[in-house]
Amino acid sequence: MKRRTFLGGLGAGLAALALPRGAHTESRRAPLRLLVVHKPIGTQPAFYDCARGTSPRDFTLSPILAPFADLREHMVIVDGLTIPKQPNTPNEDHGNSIVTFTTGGVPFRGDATTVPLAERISIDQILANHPDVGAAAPVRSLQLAADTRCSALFTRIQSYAGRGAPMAPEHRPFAAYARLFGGLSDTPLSPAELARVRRRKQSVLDFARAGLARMTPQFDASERERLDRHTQAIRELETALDHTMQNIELAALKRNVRDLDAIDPSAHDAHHGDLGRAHLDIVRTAFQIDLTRVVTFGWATGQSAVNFSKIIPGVEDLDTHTLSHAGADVVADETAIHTWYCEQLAAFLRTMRDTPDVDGRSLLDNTLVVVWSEMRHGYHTFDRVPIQLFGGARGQLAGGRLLDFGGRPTNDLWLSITRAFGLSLDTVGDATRCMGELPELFTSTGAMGGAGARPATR
Amino acid sequence: MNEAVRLALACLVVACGNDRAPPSEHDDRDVIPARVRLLTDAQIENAIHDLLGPAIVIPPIDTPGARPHQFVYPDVISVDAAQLARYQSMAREVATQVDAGDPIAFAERAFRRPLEEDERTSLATMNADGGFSLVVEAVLQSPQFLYRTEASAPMLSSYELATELGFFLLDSVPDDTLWTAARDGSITDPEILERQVDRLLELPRVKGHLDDVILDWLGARGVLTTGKDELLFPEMTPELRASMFAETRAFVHDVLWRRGGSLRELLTSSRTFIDASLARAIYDVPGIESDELVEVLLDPRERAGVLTQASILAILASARSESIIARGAFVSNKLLCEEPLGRPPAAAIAAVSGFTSKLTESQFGYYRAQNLYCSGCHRTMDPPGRALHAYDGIGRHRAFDLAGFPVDDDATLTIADSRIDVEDATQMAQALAESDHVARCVIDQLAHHAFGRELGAMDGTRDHIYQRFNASERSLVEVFRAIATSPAFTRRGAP
Repeated sequence: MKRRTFLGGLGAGLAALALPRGAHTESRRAPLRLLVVHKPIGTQPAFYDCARGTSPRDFTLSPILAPFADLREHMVIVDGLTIPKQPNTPNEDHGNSIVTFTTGGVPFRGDATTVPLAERISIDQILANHPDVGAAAPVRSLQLAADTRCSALFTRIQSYAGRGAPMAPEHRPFAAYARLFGGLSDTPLSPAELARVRRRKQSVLDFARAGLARMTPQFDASERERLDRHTQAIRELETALDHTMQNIELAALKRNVRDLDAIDPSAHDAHHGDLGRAHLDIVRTAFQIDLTRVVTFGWATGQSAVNFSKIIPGVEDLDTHTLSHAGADVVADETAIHTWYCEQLAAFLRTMRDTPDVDGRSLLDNTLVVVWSEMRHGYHTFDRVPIQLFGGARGQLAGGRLLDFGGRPTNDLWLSITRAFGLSLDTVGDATRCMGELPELFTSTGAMGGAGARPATR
Repeated sequence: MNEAVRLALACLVVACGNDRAPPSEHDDRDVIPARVRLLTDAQIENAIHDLLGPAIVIPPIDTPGARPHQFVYPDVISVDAAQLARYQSMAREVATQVDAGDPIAFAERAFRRPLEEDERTSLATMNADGGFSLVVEAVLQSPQFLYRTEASAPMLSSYELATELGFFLLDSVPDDTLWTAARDGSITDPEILERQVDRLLELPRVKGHLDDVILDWLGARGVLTTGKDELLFPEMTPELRASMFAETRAFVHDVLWRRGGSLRELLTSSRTFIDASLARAIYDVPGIESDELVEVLLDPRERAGVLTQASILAILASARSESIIARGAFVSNKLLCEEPLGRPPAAAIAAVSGFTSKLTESQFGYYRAQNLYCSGCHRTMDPPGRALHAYDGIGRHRAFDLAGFPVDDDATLTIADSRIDVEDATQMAQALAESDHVARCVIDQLAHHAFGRELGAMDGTRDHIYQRFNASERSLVEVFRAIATSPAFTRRGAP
């Protein structure tokens, strides 16, 4: 893979890109986007925690966070949050904690299934459904993952459409590409050809819609809900169809995801970084043309099967999850892994920082990136989970700070995030595990309020 | 620590209730409400090959949240935009490979029912505009193809019933004979249904699929990928792993189709199928030079049934050692239907890990049995694993464990509420094979697979299956046959 060539090509292609028709073009006001990044199995606290002074700005980046040195002013390290995971939840800790963090409540186990699932909608989906946030873009939300190997379904799900409705992430960059930009041909089409392709695609979608419409009344509410979700998916692809039927140049991105798709799954360990970065490149492109505003991305599952001996020389030849239970012998190996993840993300964030947005600021300035893990470290503790925020959140997040919230639940972070996106919820997730907005995290949400073009309603 | 071990650290188990209400036929509880079921990726692939020919190359759909060979398909997958896009690109690629065809006949077989008038019109329009290929593209991503609809109450319609039977036994759309029986309505006659099931059970394809159902229940394919330390187990090559799986597959096939499907044989037979590499590396049988599997009778004092085969034993182990907990949990979950509730609190593990990491697997087992805190759960969970302690991490029989101590495989099993002392794995296999609790547990799981939901309170169905199983030679094939004729299979509740 020639990444340099790829990025160069992509940059050139996008430079020529006019922002497609969309609600925000009149005001040239950029949309606010959310990218949630899950990195599994915590961190190594001794090499993660930062030495700190008395003020939030007074801290020294730890070895694991050192790759973010040049992004320090775009970063807030959030310490002292606890994932309010209920003890003795069914099955296992990683997945339960993921459910608890993303939905703010505990999982349940349905009568007809052995799979524990979220009891409620995940917070990213509340934002995805909001007319000023996710629903203002053609694709309400995207779920992506670099690696999904794990037997337990709920260790790889961050997004839930509702009770017991997991939204499984796409792990093939090529499939994600095909979904978002798949209507595009390699060479520009004439208007007549475009219209013909458009008509055929529409007839296929219409046929499916009619089938669902006939099917739905035969069933009760729970089945109907499932079929309605399918109808909604058709609608979404239809909207995206209009959006991506424009002739835009994405050849380099397409080449990259196609190359990655040809790699044998047995070599996915060695290409873990390439796969993750390809997903993130897709995210940046989708943000840039305002195809979507809400994304959850996972590096791997809660029981990460990624074997880093193929990536970092000298790391023990075990999968990450097994390694995390191997005790004190592997502290250096684990530190190297956590640092590597920070390096990958830092490289992506720099491209966000260097990509201009419609309002003249950078894409990073108009995005909130939430990086989190389902536990503090591999020994299954759920307080002081490692969380970092990046991006300006459209002027609402001042970087260069380390904030310690002394044991507040992670739901409070989500509540603050929903407010930054202009929602006026009183609580998120399980209300008994939500104490209120985190003080001093975001500034003046009222002044900036509203994520989309429409004025804030609060 | 591997997945199985970690899961098995799980504490406290709840025994399946056997104080069930007396059997009642066709009680309301036996009726699954009208529902839709999404086809599995494998079913979509099989159906496309059956509809359009085996030469069609189908790109992987790769539905996230579902894996190939998953015993119970998670029926929670919604078709969101991402999933729909996966079906779209699959349908597009398949459509490029077809030339000409009859759009109406194709769509009928794909939908497993006659077409509605508006469907005919739309398909004809598409056929005129984009040819058969556009029809294929539309049909393969349409909900009519992707969902099985089980909507007619109280009895499924002939088309729905033929569809259920097709997906249960062929893992695909109905074949020609089933289709005819759906069209003339005869399939809804219980006798004809029974005859169709008998016919299907003779087809090599159905036999192969049901072999897979049993193998997927056991998780036997795990041996192809389970992590093994290359220094400790240098013989564990990809070829040997493939032989281990091939052994268990041949064994399951033999039990199902040549030994009357006997559950007892599955659990106790020392007749198996091995090649030269297994004979040398695992079973220590002289004189086998063939690279093909050959039938052998192993020493019945050392081997009894599938639990003592290399594939299963190698899966129920960590990379470096056998695992009492994983093996115990496997027996508890798969044969006794006890349910893991969760692992010990992190603090408890952390408190003992410094000390226990220096113990052998066997010593750690004694520690869990002695320690009041651990034994609360492990005293019932560990014993089946203890009884399997005479096999190392890749299934070789041994007299001494890794640390050089003589193997101690005496164990006291708790089956339902009775306690049974066994001296080794072969005695455990006998005890399990004789237990009614085990038989009912296996039936519940096979039914869970077939219905896509747990039997739960469906006692009429449970008893129907159990009685037919018992009236036969306690045959697993009879379980499949009984499932296909049970109330839960043929009836649905009104929405």
